[in-house]
Amino acid sequence: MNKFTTLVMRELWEHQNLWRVPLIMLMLVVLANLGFSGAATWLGLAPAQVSSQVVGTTLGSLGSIVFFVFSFLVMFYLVDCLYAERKDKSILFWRSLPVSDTLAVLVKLFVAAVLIPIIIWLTIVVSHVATLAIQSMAGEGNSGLFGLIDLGVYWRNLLFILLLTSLWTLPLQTWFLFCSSWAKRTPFVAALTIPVVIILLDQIFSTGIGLGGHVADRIPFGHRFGGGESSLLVGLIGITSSYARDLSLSQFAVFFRQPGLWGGLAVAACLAAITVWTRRWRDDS
Amino acid sequence: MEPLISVKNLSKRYGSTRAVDDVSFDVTAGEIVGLIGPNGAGKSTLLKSLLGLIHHDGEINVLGQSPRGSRAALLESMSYIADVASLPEWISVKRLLDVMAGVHPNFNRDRTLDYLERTSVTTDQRVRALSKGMKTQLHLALIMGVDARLLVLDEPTLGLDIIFRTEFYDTLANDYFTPQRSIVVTTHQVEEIEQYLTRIMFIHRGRILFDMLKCDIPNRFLRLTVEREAAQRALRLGPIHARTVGESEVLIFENRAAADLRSHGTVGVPGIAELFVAKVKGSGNE
Repeated sequence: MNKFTTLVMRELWEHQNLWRVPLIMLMLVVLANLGFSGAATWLGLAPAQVSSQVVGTTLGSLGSIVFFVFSFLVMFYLVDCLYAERKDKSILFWRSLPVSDTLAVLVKLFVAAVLIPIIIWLTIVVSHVATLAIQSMAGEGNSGLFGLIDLGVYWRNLLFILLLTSLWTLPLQTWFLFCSSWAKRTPFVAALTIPVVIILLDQIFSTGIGLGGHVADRIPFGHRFGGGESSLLVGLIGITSSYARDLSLSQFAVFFRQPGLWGGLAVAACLAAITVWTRRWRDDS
Repeated sequence: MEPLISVKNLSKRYGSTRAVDDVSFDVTAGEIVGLIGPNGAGKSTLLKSLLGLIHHDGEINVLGQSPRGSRAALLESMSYIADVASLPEWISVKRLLDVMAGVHPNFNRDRTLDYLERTSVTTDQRVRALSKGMKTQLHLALIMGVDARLLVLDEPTLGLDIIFRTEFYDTLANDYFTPQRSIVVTTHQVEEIEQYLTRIMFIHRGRILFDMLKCDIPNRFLRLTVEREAAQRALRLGPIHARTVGESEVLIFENRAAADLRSHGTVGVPGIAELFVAKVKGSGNE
């Protein structure tokens, strides 16, 4: 294994929730499906009435639940990953290895921004397969559930949207990572309190920073808290209605043309650089 | 021979305190250097500068590189233990070896496993489940597996019992050390490592007070133990330090022939600890 792969594996060994939680969720999905096998009948729908819309909504809801749980998981991971090694002093050991601080921080960001979306995607796909398979077997005449929507397109869209969501939320991710490397104690409290205080001051004194709007744009379901149009992309709400559509290139172009995306990435790059600097020069002893 | 470590005019300030004050020295292969000083003398600051962990003034070259600029590359040929209690608790021994093998180009898993076989540490255990002594053995085993030219130890055995401390240094001296390698170790427990060192450096208030090969000490320093009644006469010989131990007076002399002292009492070679006290107190710098 090379350095990068080894360090990624180390994160999975240390933060076992990253693979334990999806396994537990999948078990719950299977149990729920077994408990409600024949859900269509139970809902009072004749097999013929189980439309692509019903299937799409069900799969979309499953996806939303998985995504919602992981939103917390990724936040806890980021807030913990650099703080935990300082707390137990193991940073002294980690820093004695030939691994640069840049690589150490980038690996953690990679886990949060790329690996976790892929784990979310796998969890959702397996939960979809499990749901459709169990319901197909249970309900008489439901064997065609797999054919009602184009799963290939749906899952591909889902993967794209999860990765784009990760890009979109990168400033929040790097903020949590920075708090993890910087806070003397309770990085979680620091990560939440500082933006809340800024937002409140912003509102009281009408400073026009508008941090509240930027944050609302980038949190799941943020459109309910004043986020703009682009916040719809965050979370899986948008996908449930687009399950059958192929995402066209022009939609990607719209996404990548948003100034908010590039502004956010610039903020994320700055925060990541400060995080590396903090880990490099921080001297707690 | 090119030195493994070369330090020129190193200084480090914390506010108005000079933690390290204009220090210069070289370390060549084949040396086991003891950097000895009380707590707060500047030992750790000096080591952190060698490892490129802090900003500093002056020039440092370790294995031909600047530790500040190329810390990660440097650590491929330099091992470092800050504290034997710093291994991550959550990891299993096997995973720890996986990590070492994955990130360290000069790590040989078999060598580490060979050493671990001599201990009661097994690869399926988690670090959390190991006793403090076993963690030391594990850390040492990792160091044994790394083909490094330089090993830096910062108070490595703090809080360990005497059996493990002795085992730790015995292993380093007998199984790890070679003429091609160098070890730099800081401690304030002098007696413990005295026998392993080839060179002694005293650091006090950020300055190097004394720097000498251990084998040269008997040629330069002598200890004279006299009855208290005879002390006055011996004191006229100009010891660098004198102290009362029970009914005797112990005097430390620098550059004095043993023949001059023998008529006064018992002549011997001072231990590192008493030499340290003599140099610190004698420097008027206590």
